[in-house]
Amino acid sequence: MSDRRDTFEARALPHLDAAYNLARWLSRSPSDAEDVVQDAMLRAFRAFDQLRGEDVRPWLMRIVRNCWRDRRDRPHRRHDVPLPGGREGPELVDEGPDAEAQAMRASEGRRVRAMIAALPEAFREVLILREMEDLSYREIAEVSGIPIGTVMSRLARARALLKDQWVAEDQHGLR
Amino acid sequence: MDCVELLTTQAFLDGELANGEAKAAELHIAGCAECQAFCEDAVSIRSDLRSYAQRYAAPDRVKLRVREAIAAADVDLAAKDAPAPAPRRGRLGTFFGGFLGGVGVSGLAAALWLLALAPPTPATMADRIVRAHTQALISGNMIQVASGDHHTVKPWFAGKIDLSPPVHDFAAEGFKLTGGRIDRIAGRPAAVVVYQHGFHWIDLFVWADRGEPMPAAGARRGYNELFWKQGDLDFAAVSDMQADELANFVDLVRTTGE
Repeated sequence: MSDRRDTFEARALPHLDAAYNLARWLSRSPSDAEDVVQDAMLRAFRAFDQLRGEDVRPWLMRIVRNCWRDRRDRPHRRHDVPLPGGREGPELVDEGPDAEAQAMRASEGRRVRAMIAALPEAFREVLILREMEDLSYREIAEVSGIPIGTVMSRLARARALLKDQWVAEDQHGLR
Repeated sequence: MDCVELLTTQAFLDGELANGEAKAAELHIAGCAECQAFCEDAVSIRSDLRSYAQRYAAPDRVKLRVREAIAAADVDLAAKDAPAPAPRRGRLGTFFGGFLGGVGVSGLAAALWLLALAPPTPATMADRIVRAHTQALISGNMIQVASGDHHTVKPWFAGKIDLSPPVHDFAAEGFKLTGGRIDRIAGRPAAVVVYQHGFHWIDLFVWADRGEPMPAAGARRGYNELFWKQGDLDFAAVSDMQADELANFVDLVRTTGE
C-alpha cells in the first residue's frame, strides 16, 4: 500500500459515516447516497495533496456536498422516489421488554425524519451540518460555500419551518 | 414580527458566542418573550433530532466499495507519478541549463541559510512544528524507521543526530509506538518519535535545548501542541487528537523519562 493511500485512509476514512450521513440526507435516497459518497471519496483522494493543515472533516463534507450537487443537476438523472423515513435506514431499535414504547419510538422517528426530509434542500443542509455533524458556523459556511450571515439566517429559517410543521401536524391530531 | 436579536440568540444557543457576548445575549433572552420561545423550540427540535432522527451509518458494502475504488485510483496515481524520461537537450541547452540551474540552487541555499540564522520566535516555532507534522503526513514521509520496539527505534537515531530521544512503547496506555524519523525545525535537526492513538498520529519532536523560550501550548489549524523542556532537551508533542488526550500522552512521556 502506498504512503499516500495509507495516510488518506487514516485521515479520511474515519469520516466515512459523516460523509454518508450528509449524502443520505441531501439526496434522500440510499442508492444516490452510496454513489455520491464513492465519488466524493475518490475526488478527495485525488485532491488529497492540496489539503494542507486544514481539518479533514469540513473539507470532505464540502466535496460530498459538491458531488451531490453535480449529480442532482445532471440532465438525465433517474429520479428515485425519496423515502422520507421509509423502510430503509438502520432503525437501531433494540429488542427490549417494552414493545409498545419501542413502537412509539419508531413511529416518532419516522415522523421526525419525514419532517426533515421535507425541508427545502438549502435549509436541510445547514440543519444537518449543525445539529447532526456538530459543525461550527464557520465550518458550515466553508462546506456550503456561503457567508456566515447566510448560514445563520438559513438555520433560523430551517428551525422556524420545522416548528411550523410541528404545530400544523399537532393541530391535525397526528400526534 | 421577528426580534432583531434573534440571530444573536440563535448564535448563543449554538455555542458560537464568546464570554462577553454570551452574557449580553443571556440578558437579552431573559427579557424577550420571543427569543425565549425561539430557544425552547430550537432546543426541542435539537433533542428530537438527536434522539429520533439518528445519523445514517455507511453500510458495509459502501465501505468496501470506497476502499476498492481508492486502491484502484492509487495504482493510477502511482503510474502517473513515475518519473518521466528525462527530456533530451542539445549541448548548448545543457550548458546554459546547468549554469542557470546552479545560480537557482545557490540562491535558494543562501535564502534558507539566512532563514536558519534568525532564531525563530516561539510562535513561528509552534507554527513550524505543525507544518513539519502535516507535511510529513501529506508527503507520506512520516516514518523512516517503522517499529513498535524501542530497542529498534532508539538505536536507529544514533549516528543520525547528536542526541538520543527517550523512546518507549505506551501501547498498554493506548499510545502505540510506530516508528521514528529525522526532521528539521527552523534549520535544525530534530528527532521525531511517532506514535499512534486509534486513527490519530502523534509526533514527538525532540531537539537540543539552546535556552530559547518555549511556545505556549495551543491549537493551530486543528492540531494541538504541547511543549516542554526536560534536562538539556526540548520537546514538542503535536497531534489532531483532543487536547486532554495529548496531555495524557505527554504526562506519560514526562514521567517515564529516559
